[in-house]
Amino acid sequence: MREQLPILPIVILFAAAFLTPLVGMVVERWRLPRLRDWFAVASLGISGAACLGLTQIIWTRGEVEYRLGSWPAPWGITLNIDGFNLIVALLAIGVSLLVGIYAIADMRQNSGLTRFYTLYLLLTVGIMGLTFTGDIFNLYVFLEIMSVAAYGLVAFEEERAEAIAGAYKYLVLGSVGTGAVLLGIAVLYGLVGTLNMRDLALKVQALGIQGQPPLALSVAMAALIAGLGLKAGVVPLHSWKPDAYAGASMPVGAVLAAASTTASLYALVRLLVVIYIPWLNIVRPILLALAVLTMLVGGFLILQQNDLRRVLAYSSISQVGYILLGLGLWTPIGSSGALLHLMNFAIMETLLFLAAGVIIRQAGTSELRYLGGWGRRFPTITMLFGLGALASAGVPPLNGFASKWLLYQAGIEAGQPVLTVMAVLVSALTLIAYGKVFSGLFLGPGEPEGRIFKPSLLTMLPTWVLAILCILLGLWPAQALTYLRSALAVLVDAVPAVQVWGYWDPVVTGMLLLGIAVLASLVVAVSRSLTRSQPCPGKSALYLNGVSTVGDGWGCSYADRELYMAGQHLYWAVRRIFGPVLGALDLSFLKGGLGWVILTVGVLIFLLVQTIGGI
Amino acid sequence: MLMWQNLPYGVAILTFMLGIYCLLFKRNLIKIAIGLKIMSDGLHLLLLCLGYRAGGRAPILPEGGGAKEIVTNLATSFVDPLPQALVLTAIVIGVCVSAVALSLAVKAYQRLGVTDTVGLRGK
Repeated sequence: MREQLPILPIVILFAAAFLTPLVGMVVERWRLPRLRDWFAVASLGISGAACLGLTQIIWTRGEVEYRLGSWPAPWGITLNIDGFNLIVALLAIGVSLLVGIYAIADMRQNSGLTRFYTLYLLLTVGIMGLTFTGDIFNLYVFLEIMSVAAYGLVAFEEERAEAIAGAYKYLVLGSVGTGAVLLGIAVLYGLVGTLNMRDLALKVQALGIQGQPPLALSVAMAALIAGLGLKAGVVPLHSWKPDAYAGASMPVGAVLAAASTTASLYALVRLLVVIYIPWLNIVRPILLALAVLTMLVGGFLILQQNDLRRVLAYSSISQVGYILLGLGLWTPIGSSGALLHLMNFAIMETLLFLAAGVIIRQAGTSELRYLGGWGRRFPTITMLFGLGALASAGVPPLNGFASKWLLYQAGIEAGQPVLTVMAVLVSALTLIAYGKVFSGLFLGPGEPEGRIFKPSLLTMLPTWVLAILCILLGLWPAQALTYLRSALAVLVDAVPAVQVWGYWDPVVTGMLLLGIAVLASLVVAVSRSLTRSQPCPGKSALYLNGVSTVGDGWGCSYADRELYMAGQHLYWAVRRIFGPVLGALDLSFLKGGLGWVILTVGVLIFLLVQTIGGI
Repeated sequence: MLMWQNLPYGVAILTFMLGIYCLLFKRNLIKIAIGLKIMSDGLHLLLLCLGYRAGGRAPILPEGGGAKEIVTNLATSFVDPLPQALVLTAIVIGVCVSAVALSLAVKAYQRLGVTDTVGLRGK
């Protein structure tokens, strides 16, 4: 049994996924549909327990290789489990379990839940397999299992038009992404003729030692970065994300944002670090460029959103940028920060989606202008949402702050304070955007109508657990970091002990704080001076926090669609300055998104061929 | 060097590009699904080309010991069977993706009465 433990989390979920329709049929006859939901959740729990059992083995042995069908490593498929992917798997299964419990109550009103739970379990199988596998083609297969299940889940609430539109867009772009991954794998296989990741790493690195690596290597690397980057929602490959999240029900959005993104990022890191380690220094500037783009575009676009689901989508995009930033810097403190942020990201995104889901489910809409008064109606859940929002904006003493603090330090330590400034700026933008959401929820006009029911224990329990985790990880990040060191050991050879606090000398800290203050006042001053020239009704007290239908002037032409509130001029200023750029990135249905994907692949190939070389 | 044995690679890349063209410039939801299929078929062809060896044997060991030289030259005389296995898997996945895409197109027509991406976005 102990020998079979590595495969159990995957097999249990697979079996449960295909048993769910059967259980559903039996249970429908007895009119106990909740039993089927609990069956799905229980299988997630057992799978999670198997993962926990694995931690003990990993703790003592460091890593485990499981051979499927007992075929030895380079020929057969293996599962390679070490500290790094076990942590990702634990996060993913934990998130899936909590969201599954939440979904029992949240999805109660929907019909066809048997299909929902089957797809939900398959999505989790895909994520688990993606993290555990040691075979690169197996990775592609699990990526596709995850993706196809996700397309179906996004379209699940098919009575909403956004669900079908979002799912279709996700399907087309996602298939191009997985197609790119397959292309990369095919080219790699053609180059060295093996699929086992370790063997592949050895053979690819041998190519690097021999001198001029072939052109195919650059093409494969570009295709893999683009494909997995698309799945993780890296700008400019992100355009499916807002639409898919706007279409998905909130539990699905939570799993996609937290577990699926985390697993895709993990796969990207694993391939880059394990296979392309000789060229890592060449890829780093590209990763940093993508990170900066992801943070900034996500940060600025989050300000423009008037829909709670889209706010969450863009917030998750900008958080991915932070993780990439830490990886791109690749210093011990940077990669520790990235890994800690990956963990915190999964927890706080789930918290945000689940807390927002309670309100959205009851209000029946996610447009901010219709959500007025709901914050007053559900103070507890809104406070939990606020906790998640503050955490993802990096406010101490929550978990988002601890990992962002490490990343800020990493930027300065690597001699690139510009990156730190950008990271701080995007945190500020996130905070402002959530301020807008709160302004809508609490201060917006309107009173909740219709039948309002108390959120059940099943929705509150996972939300509370996540909120408490946010606080605990914020208060004791050093402990979390100690546990993450075994994971880091997989990535970096020598892991120096990284201190969260007390790493900096006071001068640098003081300079940074001063910089933040100066930057904030500069942004406010610029936006004020830009809006002062053209007075808007939004600035008068009468319209403050009220919905206005009056539209005049450049800023106010948007007025009928959004809320007026304190600080509104900032959004207008951002839109005034960056409008055309943001318009080009807030992508239209398909052509735009696809165009960016193809352009990105082209640019990546060009850059990598230029830097790595090859003929 | 442009050689006849490289022709399949050219065809594979051309098919892939054709699929991308279809995704970019077609609006009909079903045509886009077809475009996805063409794109992935280009990839499958590429994978098959990688394993092909002109004049190679089928990767099956003959019975008995009569073909010792075949076994010793195994690595150079056999067609690589692995890409074919991979393509088989990839084709199955492609069918799943097509099925989901087409069913979404049906749903878009049933629920929203639209058949193209412009209509889908407008809804």
